[in-house]
Amino acid sequence: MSDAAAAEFAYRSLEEGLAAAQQARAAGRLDAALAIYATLRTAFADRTHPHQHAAALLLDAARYDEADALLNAAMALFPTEVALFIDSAWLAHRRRDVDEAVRRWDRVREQFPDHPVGYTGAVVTLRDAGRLDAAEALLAQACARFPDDPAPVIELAWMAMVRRDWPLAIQRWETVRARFADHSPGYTGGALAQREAGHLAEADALLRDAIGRFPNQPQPLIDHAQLAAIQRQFPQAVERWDAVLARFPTQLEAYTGKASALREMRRFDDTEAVLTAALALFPGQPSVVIEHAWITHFRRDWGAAVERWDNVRALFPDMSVGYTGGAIALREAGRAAEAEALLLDAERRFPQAIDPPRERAALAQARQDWEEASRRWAVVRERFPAEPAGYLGGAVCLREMARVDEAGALLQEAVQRFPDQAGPALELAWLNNRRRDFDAAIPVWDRIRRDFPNQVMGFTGGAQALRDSGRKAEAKALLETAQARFPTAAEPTIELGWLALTDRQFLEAEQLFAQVCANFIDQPVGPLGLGRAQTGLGRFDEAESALRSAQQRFPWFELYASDLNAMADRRREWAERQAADPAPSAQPAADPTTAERLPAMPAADPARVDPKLRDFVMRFESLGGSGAGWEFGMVQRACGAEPMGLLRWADMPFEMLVGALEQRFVDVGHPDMTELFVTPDANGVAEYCSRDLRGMMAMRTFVAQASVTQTEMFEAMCRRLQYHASKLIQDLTQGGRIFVYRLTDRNLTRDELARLHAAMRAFGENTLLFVRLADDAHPDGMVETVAPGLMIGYMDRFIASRWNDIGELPMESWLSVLGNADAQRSGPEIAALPTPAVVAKPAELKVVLCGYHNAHLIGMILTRLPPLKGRISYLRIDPGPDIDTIVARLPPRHLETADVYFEESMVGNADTRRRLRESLPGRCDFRSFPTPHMTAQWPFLGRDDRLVPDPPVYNGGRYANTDRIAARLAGIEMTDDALFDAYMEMTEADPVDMDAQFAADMRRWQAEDERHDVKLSAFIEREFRAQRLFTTPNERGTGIVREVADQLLQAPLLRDIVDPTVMRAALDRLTHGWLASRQELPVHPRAARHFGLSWWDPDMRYRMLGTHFTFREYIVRYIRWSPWLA
Amino acid sequence: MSDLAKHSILIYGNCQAEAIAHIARFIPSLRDKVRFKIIPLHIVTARDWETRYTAEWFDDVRVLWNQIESGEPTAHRQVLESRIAGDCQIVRFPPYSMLCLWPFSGSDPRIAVDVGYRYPWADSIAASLADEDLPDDALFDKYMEISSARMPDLERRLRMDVARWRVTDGLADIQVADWVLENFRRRELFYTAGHLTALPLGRMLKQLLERTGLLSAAEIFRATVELDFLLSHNKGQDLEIAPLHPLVAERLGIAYYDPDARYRWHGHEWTYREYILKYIRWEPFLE
Repeated sequence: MSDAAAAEFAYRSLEEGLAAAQQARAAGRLDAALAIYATLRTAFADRTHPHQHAAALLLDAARYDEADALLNAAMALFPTEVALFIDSAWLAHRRRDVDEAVRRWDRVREQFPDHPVGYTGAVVTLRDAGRLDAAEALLAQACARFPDDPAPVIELAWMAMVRRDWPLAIQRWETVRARFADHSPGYTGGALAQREAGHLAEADALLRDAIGRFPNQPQPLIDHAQLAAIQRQFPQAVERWDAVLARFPTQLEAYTGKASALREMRRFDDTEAVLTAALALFPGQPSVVIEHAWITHFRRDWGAAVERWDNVRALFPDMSVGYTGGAIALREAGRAAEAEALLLDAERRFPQAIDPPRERAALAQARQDWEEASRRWAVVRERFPAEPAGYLGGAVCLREMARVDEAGALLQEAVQRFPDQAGPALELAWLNNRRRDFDAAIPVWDRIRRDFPNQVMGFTGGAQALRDSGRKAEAKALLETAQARFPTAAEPTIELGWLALTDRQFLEAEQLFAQVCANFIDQPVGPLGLGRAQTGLGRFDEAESALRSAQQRFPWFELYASDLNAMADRRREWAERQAADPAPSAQPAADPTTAERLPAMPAADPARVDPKLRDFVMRFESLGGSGAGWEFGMVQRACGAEPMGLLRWADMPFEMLVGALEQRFVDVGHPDMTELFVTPDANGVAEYCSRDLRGMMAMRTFVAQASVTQTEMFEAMCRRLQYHASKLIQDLTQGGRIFVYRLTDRNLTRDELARLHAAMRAFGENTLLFVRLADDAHPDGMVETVAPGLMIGYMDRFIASRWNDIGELPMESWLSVLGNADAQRSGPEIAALPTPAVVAKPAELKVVLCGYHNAHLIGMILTRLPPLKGRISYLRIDPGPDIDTIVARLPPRHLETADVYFEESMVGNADTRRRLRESLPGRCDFRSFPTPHMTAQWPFLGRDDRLVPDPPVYNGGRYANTDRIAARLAGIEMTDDALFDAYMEMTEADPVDMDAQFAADMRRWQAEDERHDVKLSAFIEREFRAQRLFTTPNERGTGIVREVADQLLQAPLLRDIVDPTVMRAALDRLTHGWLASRQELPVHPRAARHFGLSWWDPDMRYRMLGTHFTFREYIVRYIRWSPWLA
Repeated sequence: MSDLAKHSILIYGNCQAEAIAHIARFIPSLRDKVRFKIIPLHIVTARDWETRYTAEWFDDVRVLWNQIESGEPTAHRQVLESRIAGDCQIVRFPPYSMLCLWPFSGSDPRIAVDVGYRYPWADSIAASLADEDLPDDALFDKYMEISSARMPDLERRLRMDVARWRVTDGLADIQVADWVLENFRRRELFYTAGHLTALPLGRMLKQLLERTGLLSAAEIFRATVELDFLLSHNKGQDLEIAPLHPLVAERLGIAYYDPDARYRWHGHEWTYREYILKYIRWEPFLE
């Protein structure tokens, strides 16, 4: 049997054969797949697919020559098949053979002039080769030639990206989105541009948008994960990669991306596991095999690295990375000669690739052969002038040979050659920092921040230059800016820590490095700085413990050892100083809490900290309290959060707290008001504590008496208190936080709570969470919102009993209370951070509204009030039809299970309404409301025979509210002015009794009050002069609708689920600026005058749906019965 | 009077076309002479062609006012063209749009996920502040600070708009580019990037009427006079007004801009500040 016959026999269709080949390929059996493609080429000789698929497989395996030969043969067989020519051009592109790729793209354009890929492909090749002007010129042709094709416009946007012109790129991506909204690159590319421009939130927003719009495309999800990784939010990145894998389990990039994120978190075993899984799924994929090799570098396992790179070279002999990676591994393993040999081999194999000569230069540099390295970098510069590596490496060598000026000149040249790259400018700035030429360095750092705002180093390096030139305040300000701008970067906090150490501000330094340790567990300098700060404070045991623990985690970080060696000298020094400046004697502590032994408060293990939980508890701030006022501070510590707060560790009796708030913490930290005393901690070690002499703020310092002299500690404590007091005032003024206060010995009275709340709200829109003991009606974890910004939380117990016995920290109770408080403060609409524990959501109340338009408005309000979202279900019944018709439309047993029923009682079919009411269960909360009307505001209402239905545009007649005086002027030919004057004269002279009309209205409203639960007559009488309560005789304005809603919301079942104060505030906010009706019948000046309507204005315009008239315009049109546009 | 009884003018286009059809139906002198039919291209479905816009439905269509789109004809447009009679007059008119007045109309992920579709006119700066927990004043200040700092080159954006208009003008029988360019600084023409005040709607409708062979010159003249009267105090497509950023008004020299104006948003009327705060917070509103 021939091959063709065999293939036909084996595969009844080409598709079946291709699937079999794909299966073999996926299993890593590349040769088997190639064999299948070969038989398919024979069996289905008129089809190009087997040729293309085989070439693609060879290309992915970096077997370029074979792929090329195959495509050449295919092109000869199918000279009119554009796809083959395109594949051929891409192949040259992938090989980085730019000239050949350009030639092949020229061929595509010549032979297939109507195919846009001939242009866009060439643009990609030219762009990647740095030939940007040529690429843009070609793109201009493509845009003109293919105006409706998105590809040229997309490439144009990419061009701006390559030029690093982010504003232009952002604009171009906007254009892509505007013109081709259904193409995802407009979003993903736009997000990339925003990201590079430093607009991370906008990038995030754009990607979230793209994820929603293109749910079946993996790229938005991938980019979203990468965005987290770039922000160094690696746990989040891992979550997002998992999301990619859940939707697109065969996305290779998700495996490598997840592995990178795990690697950054130093979870090497997990990284290996992911890569092993990827190797099993994609056995022939170079990127997986290569990543699998790179991971060994991070583990510094050079033996394994050498082996894995050997494997890479065996599998992909045409990829230079196998050689350069192998050389790095050999170099690090101390096998420099082998590394050199491997790189020479790579240079011969890959004459177009920069990495072999670059690594050879790095090899010489690593052995500190600066002369040789310098020569090799010169070769790199000569052969690859478009790459900055040769300049940067060369400058390092020159610097090391003390030829600093030459290094500076070389970097200056690189800055000019590569203005769009940060590397040269950064190196130049660092060089200037090192040679302490700050006048030269600072402007370069300024430029870096301007041109590369996303580079955190521009801030930290600039701060170093400022600091070392004596401009410490500016350095600090710059670093604080960087902290805010790059919240996920450790460097600004680290630099602030070094700055504090330089200034011998050891307490501040300790706090900053503690933050680094807690938030950036992969930073070895965190424990180093912490150790140095603690050493500075004389707390040698803690410092030693921190350093030794860190040594185990980062065994390759050598500075720990030298710091530990230096510690012995420091201990001796301290002992001598202590002898010269005796510590204070332990003073009796006035506060019973601090007189006791202080409990141990170990910091959370950084490896176990849940970053979401830590961030979550940071949203709260302690106001201290009585009986272990430090309890909430300890909750935060247990979660890994170490916020700096004045009252975090403070005992703060109620009167003192209110007084301090009301007096805005005056004199806190003043030496005359501050006392330092000593109390033994849980281990019997004497610890400094401080207290305000006014009888408040007794608090721990966590500084051992033995470690700092009293004078130093006292000065430091006063400074710290002053700083923290101003910070607390700032936090209170800014608002937005939840401040926690708890007492163990008693509860606050309602008045006390109100006073405390008022004192806090005097600063800004703060929320107070007062935590008290639970009772039968208020179980553990429950939180009540009792007023805007005031919540009461309930817990079974506190850490300290009423008699001040210290027990276990009740973490679960605290987390329940915090979770519920945050959920209530945020409202259900705001996607809160994951709350640690939330009380089960109550069942939805079933609310039924029966009525017409008014009921519709009330229903709209109920469903859009944020506090009710998710808490009620809602249905409106039109009471017009008969009961059977209505019941047939309702869900089964809907009325029988209703919790709340509101009835607009003056509309619809009375019998229907009655029978609906009869279906309600006995426990249902029933309320009826009226539909009031008003005539007195329009005293000239009356008959006009012209009013007849006028379909299709005026179904209810042209002017539904007829005017008996205007009707008498109908048909009279006069000018507008004369007509209006005549109308005004007649109406002014009309003997209408408006008071009698109003009295009649009033009697009707009062009668309606008698029959309804919602009462409106008093409200209308009181308010109609100040608010437009009626917009036409039959249309109610916002005031009435709001009043009806407000009264209905007083239904006990609704009050039970939302505090009425909260509900009213939400109602006010929702109805702000609302016009319940856009049909406004103009009000005659005489009526306005008579009733003293303060909202009325003679020039006001009245909305008649889409058209707005003055009174005069309306009357003239009415008299003439003119058409108007509804 | 021409013999127009039972003849229809079909308008195929976006929401602007819907507004035109709505206004046209109110023109008194045309009410008994011609019907205005509308197929909204932005919401028409494949099923509509089988159930609503059947071949019979097209029987009385004598004129098609066809709002052009760039790019290849969509499947809907292809069905439309197949159902139009060979002797049906076609008047092509362009869509009005203006992007440069809302330079931050980028992206807001909440639009994609919010079933309520609260604020469809995305503001990327406001979206980026969605998670900010600040009091009103601080939040608005922050928005103004960031948006002012990131304000793009609006004249360049305008040039981009004009270039777009010219492309669509080139495909249509009616042109808008020069007129918009001459008028947009003095007169309010746009409420959002694609929603119009009564002025451009009226102009477009008049131009369409003037090119409609079914109507005599006298009928067209009378209709346009009535149209002016109908639109004299009309607000056009004002259901949603995306207020202008003050810096946009300043930089583009928008003469009608009033910093204290209140803008309609469904059932509400808000100031610019109120709108921005509500947008940032994605607050619910009422109809």
